[in-house]
Amino acid sequence: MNEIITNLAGGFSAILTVSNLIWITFGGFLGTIIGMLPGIGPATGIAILIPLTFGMNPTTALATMVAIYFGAMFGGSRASILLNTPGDGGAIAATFDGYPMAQQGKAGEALAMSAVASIIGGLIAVVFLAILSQPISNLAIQFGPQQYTMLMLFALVATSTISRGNMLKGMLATFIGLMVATVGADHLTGTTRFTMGIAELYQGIDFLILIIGFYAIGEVYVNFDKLLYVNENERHDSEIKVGKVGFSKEEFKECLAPILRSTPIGFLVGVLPGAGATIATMVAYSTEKRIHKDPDSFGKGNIVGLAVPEAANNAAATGAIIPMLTLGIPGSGTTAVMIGALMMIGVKPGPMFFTSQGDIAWAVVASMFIANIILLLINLPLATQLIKILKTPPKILLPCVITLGFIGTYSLTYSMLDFGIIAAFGIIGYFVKKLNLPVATFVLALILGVKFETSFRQAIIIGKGDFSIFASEPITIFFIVATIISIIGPRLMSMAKLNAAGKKS
Amino acid sequence: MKRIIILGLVLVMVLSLTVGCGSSDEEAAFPTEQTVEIIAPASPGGGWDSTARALQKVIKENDLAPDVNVVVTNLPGGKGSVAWNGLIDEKNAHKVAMDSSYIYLNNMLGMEDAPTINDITPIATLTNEWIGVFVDIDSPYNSITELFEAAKEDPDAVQFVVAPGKGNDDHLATLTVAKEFGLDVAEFDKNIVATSTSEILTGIMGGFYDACFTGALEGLEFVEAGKVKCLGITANERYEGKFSDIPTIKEQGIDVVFPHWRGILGPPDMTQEEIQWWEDLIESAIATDDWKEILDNNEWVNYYRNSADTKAMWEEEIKLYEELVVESGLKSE
Repeated sequence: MNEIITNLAGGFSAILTVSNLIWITFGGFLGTIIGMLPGIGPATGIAILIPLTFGMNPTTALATMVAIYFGAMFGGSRASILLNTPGDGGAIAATFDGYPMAQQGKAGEALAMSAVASIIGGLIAVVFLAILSQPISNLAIQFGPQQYTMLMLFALVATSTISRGNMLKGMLATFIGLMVATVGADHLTGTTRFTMGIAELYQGIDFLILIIGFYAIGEVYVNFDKLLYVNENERHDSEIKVGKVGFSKEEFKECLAPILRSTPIGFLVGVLPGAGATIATMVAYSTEKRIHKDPDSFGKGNIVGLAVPEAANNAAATGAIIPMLTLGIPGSGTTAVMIGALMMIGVKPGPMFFTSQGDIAWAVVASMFIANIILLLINLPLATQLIKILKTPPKILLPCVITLGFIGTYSLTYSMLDFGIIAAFGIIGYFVKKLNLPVATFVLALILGVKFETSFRQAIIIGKGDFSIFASEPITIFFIVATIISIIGPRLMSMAKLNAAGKKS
Repeated sequence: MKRIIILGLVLVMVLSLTVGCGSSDEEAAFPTEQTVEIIAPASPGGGWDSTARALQKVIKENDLAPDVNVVVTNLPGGKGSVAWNGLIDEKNAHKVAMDSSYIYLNNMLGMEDAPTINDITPIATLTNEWIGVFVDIDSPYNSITELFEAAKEDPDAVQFVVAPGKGNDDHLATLTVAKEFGLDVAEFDKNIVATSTSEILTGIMGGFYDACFTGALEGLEFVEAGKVKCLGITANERYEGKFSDIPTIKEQGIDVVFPHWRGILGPPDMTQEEIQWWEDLIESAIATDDWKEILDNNEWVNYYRNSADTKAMWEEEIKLYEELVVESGLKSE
């Protein structure tokens, strides 16, 4: 423990220079902006800025990248709350309650709570990282195909059963999502499926493209619909009120325990190389919804439902840095880009990193603390400006969203074909919203589909066709139990309530 | 008479004009544009991307191409095919792209629309990463022979894994060694699992897989940390320095040398002059100390071959792999 404190103190002294602080602030600000644009997530953001880091010393370069990464997490949820257009997979869950809050005129509370929850989640996760990085890196090794299969299964079931009474629709959306995920080369054999001979489809459809199509473009269609059919008077009423940026003490008290609960979930899932922030936020959200005293208020603008995924998202981002620093293995797309950039300047994250380049490693841990705090300082004043987006008339705002969506798409794949894909998925998104199908379960299934299928088939090959491999050790059994509970749990609870009510009368 | 003289003068002027045009055309040597582009046919962060950016960095910092601006762009898709097809459509010698054995493997393995080596111009081969064979530190196998002997006896006994997908160099290297060892390649291949790059070594350490062929760079870090063993590398000779005790596969009696190279190709029908310009630029870049430092940092090996030698290398490799691909049943048909 003492050793950790000494190391961390060394890290802080290395990072606390004027130029480092300027770079962290700059990176955090840039990251926030980049994160808000649909499709341009932290990975692309860092990739664009790689040339900037060439001249830097390794510590500054890493600290700047961390600041961009965390900043993009913040930015992503800004867009989720204000426009219902998440910039990244991890920000999807923030739309569930964040967007309804903004619609109800509570955008100020939502932005402030999202920033504070992110900071708390982020800071606690950095403490975990400082203390536990070595033992926790072993967790990544405990996860093989069978564990991933069961984790994915749990995440999919937990999300699709999230809305009570709507389980069938959830399952339906999940299966459609899984089907779309099969487009592209089969990862195990290389056989192409549903590519229609189009080379661009060979590696599947990038899930970020689908998020842009589904959310950003779909949202524009829905709003356009309103513009067309809502008459003048009603339109005046529907204009969103804008509150102050801040929240009450009671709201904070209500959210604190859920934030503290979801942080470890986000952190642990983030550590797994094959999982990431999307699963982390979804699992945290659905878990909290199940244990909350009023689960039906989730999805309708409950501030707890926003705080929870936000804390989990930043905790997962921090967790993802552990396998990168301790194993040299990227836990997310963003950390993959960071590793590439680091190798160029002669820093080799890997199993020897903390021993051979410990001073840099600890300076990075210190920079995570500082980046979180600086981001809070940037984001609160920024929120008062951002909130004005809501006052922008739709006829100006919607074309802007479309433009940004197309730019984001092009920056991801440089492919014209994807313009057609986002337009098509925008239309699907429109009908899905009209039919009240759960959008998030569809998108989650799409994101996890490839991994779910590949892990399942890998496990079957390893197990030589024996299905018992899925229940062969504690981690898989844990997920099986968790999956069963998430299906029958809500039913048992409501039956228990009915019984209790019956006894009273 | 006067008119004839004037006509003659006019003719002379017209001719000299055209001659002037012609000679100015010839003098305006390649590159005629101010920007040349190196396309990394993958998303940022991978081997293609980092090699392209490393090259760009060396060219810029040493001012090797003072007249032009060298940019790197990313154009992912179809294991490189999207970017290469783009070059073929555009036919602009100012744009080149990174390549690897996918340039012929894609087509060989039946990817529709994938270009062949005759559709593009090879410019150079740059770097090479040798492939290593890794097992867990507690694995009972201590040599390539022991490992494949066990696989020969019972194909189910040794679980092999490759990343990120079948039909890449790591996979072909696995099959090449298996074939050299006398295993039934088709039967052997059925048992190989493909997984993502981030999970291959964690999977070995976690005991999910028994052995893998993967880029030596990633694996040797874990050898140093005492977590995995390297049973052999696909190189023709051992590494120098701290990994000099790691044997090659060849010296263990299995005649396999398998490079995993990366290079640069251009659009079809490039002129000799255009090829020469790129070759000169690349040759001057790889001669710098900066480039050598980058190679060291990444455990890359210099594998320079010029345009003609690259083409010869491809043709030889195609001959070798074609048979293997058919035998293992990788080729659909």
